[in-house]
Amino acid sequence: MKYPSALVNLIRELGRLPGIGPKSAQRLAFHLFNQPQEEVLRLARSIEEAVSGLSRCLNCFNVMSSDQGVCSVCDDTGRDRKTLCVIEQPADLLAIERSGEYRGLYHVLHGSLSPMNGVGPDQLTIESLLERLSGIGEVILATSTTVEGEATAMYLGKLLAERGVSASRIAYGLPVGGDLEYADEVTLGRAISHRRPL
Amino acid sequence: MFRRYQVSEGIVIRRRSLPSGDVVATILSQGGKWRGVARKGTIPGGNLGRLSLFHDVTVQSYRRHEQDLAVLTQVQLNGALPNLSRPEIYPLANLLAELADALTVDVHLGERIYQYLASGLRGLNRSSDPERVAIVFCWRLLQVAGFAPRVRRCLHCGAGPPLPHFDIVGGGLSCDACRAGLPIPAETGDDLRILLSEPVRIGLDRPLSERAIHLNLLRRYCGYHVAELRSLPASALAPGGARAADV
Repeated sequence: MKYPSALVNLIRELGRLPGIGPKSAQRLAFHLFNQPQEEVLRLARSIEEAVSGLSRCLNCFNVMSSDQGVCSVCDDTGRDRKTLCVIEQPADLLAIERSGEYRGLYHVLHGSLSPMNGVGPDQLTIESLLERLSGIGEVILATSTTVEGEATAMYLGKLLAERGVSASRIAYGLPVGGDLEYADEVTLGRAISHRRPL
Repeated sequence: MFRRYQVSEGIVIRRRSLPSGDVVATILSQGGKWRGVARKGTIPGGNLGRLSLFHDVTVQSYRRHEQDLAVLTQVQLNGALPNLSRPEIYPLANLLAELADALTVDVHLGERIYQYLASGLRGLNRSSDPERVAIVFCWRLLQVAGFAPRVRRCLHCGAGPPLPHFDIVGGGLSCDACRAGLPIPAETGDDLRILLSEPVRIGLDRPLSERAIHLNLLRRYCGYHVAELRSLPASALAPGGARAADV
C-alpha cells in the first residue's frame, strides 16, 4: 500500500529535522494526523511565524523578533556595557542568563572555527565583533571547551590582544556536585592547572 | 566473527554534535576508519567528554547488527594534545585529519595511515615549526595511501634530475625536455625527493624551501587526486603562516 502523497511529504519534511530518523518521522506524522485539526494548525502557524518573524540582532547576532531594532539584551539599558561575552550559539546566551551571574552584553559567533568543515573566520561574526570593541573594557571568551571552541577562543584572544582589549576565558573545572573520581582526565587536568588561591 | 561489543583504539578525526546532544565521531583506528554515536556526548561531566577532536582514545562500542552505526558506550583517554588548539597549529592539525579522512574513504588502509596521523599530530603538538611538520606528514600520508607523486625520474621520459616541473594530473615531476606541468624551483623538487624517499626524521630536519609553493602543490595535487581539502587554505589562519601562493 502506498501512503497518500501529503503524508509522504510530511514524513519527508519531518525526517529532515536534526535527530529525527525515518521511523521517528513516520511516528510524528501519524501523531499529528491523530491530533485535533486546530492543534496541528496552531503548530503550523507557530512555525510560519517563527520563520517570518525572527531575525538576527544587528549588534550581537542574537535571535530577536523581526519588528525589533535590536534584541532585548542590547536594548536593556541596565546592563554593563563595558563587558562583552562571546558565545557560539544563541542557546549559550540563555544558559548564561539562567546562571544569573552575568549582566553584560553578548556577541554570538554562530559557530566555531572548523577548517575541515569549511568554517573559517569569515564564516563567523568575528569582523562585527572587532567593529564593536570601542568602549569595551573586557571581552569574556565563553566558547565551548571543545578543541574547536578552544581554538576559536585562542584565535580571538590573539586578535583582541593586538587591539589592546583585555580578554578572559571562562574557567575550566569540575561540575558542581560532581565526584572527583568520575571526572574525565582532561577536565580534571584543566581544573588542577587552572586552580585558584583561596 | 561479529561481536556486539568491541574495544578499539583510535584518533578522533571528525566530531559532529547533533542538536539532540548526541555526538557522531569519526575515528581512525589501526584497522581502518569507522563512525560511532556517543549518546548525550555533549553533556559535560559524562565519560564521553574525552571524545574531543584529535584525542587518542580507547573506545568500547556496541552494535546490535554488523551494519548498525556503533554506539560508543565507554571512552578512555590515551593522550590529549593540548597545543593543537593554538591558532598557529589548529588549522594544520585540521589539515592532517581531513587528509587522513579523505584518504580512507571506503577503503581499508591498514595501520600505517593511523600511525602517520598519530605521529603527525604529536609532531604538531611539540614542534616549534608546525608548518614543516604538516607538509612532511601530508606527503607521507599521501604516500602510504598510494597517492604519492613520482619524484625520482621524469614521469614521461624517465630522465633523471633536474626535474623542474610538477605535473599535477600525471602525478609526478617532469624534466625540462618534457615540460609537463607547473614550473617549480629546483629546491622544491629536492625537498619532494627527500620527503618521499628518505625516513621521516630526515624530512623533519630539512629546512623546507618556499612553504607557500609546497602548500599550493599539496592543495592542487590533493584537489585532483584525493579531494578538495577545505582546511588547506585555512593554514593561512596562523599568524605568519605561509599562504598557498600560485607556483
